[in-house]
Amino acid sequence: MLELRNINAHYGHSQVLYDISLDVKQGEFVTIIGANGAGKSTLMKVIMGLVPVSSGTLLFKGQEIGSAKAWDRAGLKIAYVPEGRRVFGELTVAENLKIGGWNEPPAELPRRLEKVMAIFPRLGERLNQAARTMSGGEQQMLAIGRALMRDPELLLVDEISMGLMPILVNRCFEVMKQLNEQGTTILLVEQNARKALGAAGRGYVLETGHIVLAGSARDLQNDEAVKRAYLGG
Amino acid sequence: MFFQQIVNGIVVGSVYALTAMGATLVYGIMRILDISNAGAYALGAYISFFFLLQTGNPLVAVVMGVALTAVFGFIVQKFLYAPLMDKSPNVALIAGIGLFIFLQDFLRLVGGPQARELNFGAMLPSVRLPGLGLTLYGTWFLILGATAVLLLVLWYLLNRSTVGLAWRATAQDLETAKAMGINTNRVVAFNFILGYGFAAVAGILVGILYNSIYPMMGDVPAYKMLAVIVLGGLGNPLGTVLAALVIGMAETLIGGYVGFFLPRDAIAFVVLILILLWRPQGLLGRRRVS
Repeated sequence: MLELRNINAHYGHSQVLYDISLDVKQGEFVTIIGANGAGKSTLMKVIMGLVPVSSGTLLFKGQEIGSAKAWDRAGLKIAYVPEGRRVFGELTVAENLKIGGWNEPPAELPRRLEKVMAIFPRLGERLNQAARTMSGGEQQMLAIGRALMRDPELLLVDEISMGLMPILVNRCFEVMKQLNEQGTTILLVEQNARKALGAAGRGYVLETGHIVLAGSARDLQNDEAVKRAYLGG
Repeated sequence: MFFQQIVNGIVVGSVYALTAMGATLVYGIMRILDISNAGAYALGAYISFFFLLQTGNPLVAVVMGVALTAVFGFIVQKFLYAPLMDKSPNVALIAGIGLFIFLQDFLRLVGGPQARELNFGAMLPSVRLPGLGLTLYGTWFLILGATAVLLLVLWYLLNRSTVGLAWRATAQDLETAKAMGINTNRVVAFNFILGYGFAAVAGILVGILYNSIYPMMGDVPAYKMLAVIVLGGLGNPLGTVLAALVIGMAETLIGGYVGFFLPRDAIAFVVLILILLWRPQGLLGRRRVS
């Protein structure tokens, strides 16, 4: 479904990603783990179209999208949960969700809204509240709910566990597993390697802009180097 | 006398609100102080003057002035600001100042250095209310009416329409808005069209109010609109209206009653400094936590 071939990318003048090749097949749950500053978020932005590709090929369902605008990629049903949630704080929860379904067929939206509120009942209770008045956990729910309004085929998730209480982290991982079982393809970037490898089927390890290791989540969990570097021994 | 000053203050404040609205909208999305918006203010008045000379029809003159200035805004965004967006905001600021100076000199070359009459005012009647010691000029009704209608339309557009939702989302977080499927290039273009249209309306109305336009007419608005925008809380349209009324009222009341050892145009900045000491984020600004 998603295919990256020899992708290089820069942030300003400095190169952040080197020769990245990876693929995510339809229905998979894939995670990319790595330390802070390894280039994980940049990789997500490259896929979403927020950071330009310097060279290499980026394919979505066989179609080259490397030079497509971010909003056109969203139209292809790629949805994005950004690092740090990035909800529109001054807008209400309902408006945030409406923006999540931007340019989607209007007839579809009520059904999707129902679905989001079924997953996160808290959002339903707070539809008319400004997003900035909610707790961090609620904002994370909103960021996920906003992405689900697109009914995405590919869901890009950047750091879901950051700054959340463990109980909420668990809830978010549960939701992602459910979505994946229902057919949504997921690519998750995560610092919490233990959680990420527990949920995903396959994983990649990103170090200073290079993919250094790839394999099934189970193999990575048992890999000595991964254990040492990311799973705390 | 007192009522006269109050009405005066509201009229002046309305003009400031219109003048600063264009740059407020631009700042809201682009986070740059668009000085060339004050050039659009003069440009709109001159285009309007040109069409008044050619057609003798005030409506055609106003519509053409606003429409062509709005188109100019689109061009400025596309060819001046868009290529500079990945540079430091100072680069865009200086480019804007450059364009402003260019526009002033362009108008002087084309229209001559002398002041011209934008003579719609004589067509509008005045009303005297001797009981209150008040004279209401026809141009005031025009300005208050136009300001009220335009601000209501703007409020509706920003807060109740789909385009407005895209505007508010883009103003808060352009990158995320993009990722959510909003064509932010279109939002930015719309923003400049609207912002420069507002500047043109303000320039035309001020030209009518004082029955005079001249190439440097954007000078005082260029810095006074900065005071209004900063006081309003940077890029907040409602804050801009409030700040404009506060400054307009302060100028007429302090200038009229207290007298002042400073020129009248300096009062805006004294007010700005005093209010910022009390509320550094401006009247309706929110403290940004970064």
